[in-house]
Amino acid sequence: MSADVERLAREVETLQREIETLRGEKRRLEQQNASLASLYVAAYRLHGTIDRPEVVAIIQEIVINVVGCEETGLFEVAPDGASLELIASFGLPPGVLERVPLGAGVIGSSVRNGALWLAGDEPRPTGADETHLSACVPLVLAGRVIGAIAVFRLLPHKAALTREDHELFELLGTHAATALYCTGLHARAAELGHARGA
Amino acid sequence: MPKKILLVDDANTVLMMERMMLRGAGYDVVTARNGEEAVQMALAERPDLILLDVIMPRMDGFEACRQIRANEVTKAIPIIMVTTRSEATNVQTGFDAGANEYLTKPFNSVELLGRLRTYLPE
Repeated sequence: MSADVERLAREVETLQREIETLRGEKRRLEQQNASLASLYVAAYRLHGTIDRPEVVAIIQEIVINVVGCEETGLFEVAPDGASLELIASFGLPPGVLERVPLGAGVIGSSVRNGALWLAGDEPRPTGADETHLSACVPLVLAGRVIGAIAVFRLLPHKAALTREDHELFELLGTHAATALYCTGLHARAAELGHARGA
Repeated sequence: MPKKILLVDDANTVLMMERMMLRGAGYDVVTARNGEEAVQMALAERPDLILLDVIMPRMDGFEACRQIRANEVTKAIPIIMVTTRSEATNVQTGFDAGANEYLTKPFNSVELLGRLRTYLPE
């Protein structure tokens, strides 16, 4: 009898360990699922409209709510090709970074190099306006940088950017670029349509 | 019968993500875009739980929470406030309005699903 009880006790222990392992695996899969859902939703939302103000709003919505920041700026390369223009911002003081020469500071360098910049990378921010910069995501379309998303101060309860945020930045780098570019094509097509109709 | 959750947020991106996450976890999901709609949907749908954003147009989450708590039909529905603001004053205002919990965005999906299971055991 006691041998049976011991055997059953060991089996219970084994099963409890398996349950814990499965719980851990379930949590990992839930997290992975959520991360994939974020990427899917971001892409879906970006390509769900060709209205420029909506695309701009969606980019900001993603950065503010999904990454979790309280200051962000969206830049486009100016027609002269020599600078960046701030086309939308959230939480930034008025007049800050309205025009950034290509190559200047972290944002200008990131755009000129076409390389994602994360806090801790070189070059380090030296200008006062870039003090709280957490990430700069160049927007790249067919090998050409057309703009950038700058993420400044993160939300107070968000300690640092995560691996999931980096994956989202990779997605934004191409899909936000394409979405913005398409809004321009749509606007020009509409203008041509009006001109022909006039 | 799957448990029903009312998601309330003015950001479509957030609604879509939460909806995917919760449907993937087996919940039935209905949505509202502001506090006024949230109060109406709570009455109409009688959800098992409400995830309620704070900063919204027309009626914020605090007022929506107060109104849901003031209605005999909906007063017992668990409400988790979800927001980007974590300041102590906001948290206290949420609890004073009748919220059961307060979660900050961006939230960890494992944490969120764990909290849901507390109120909606499987």
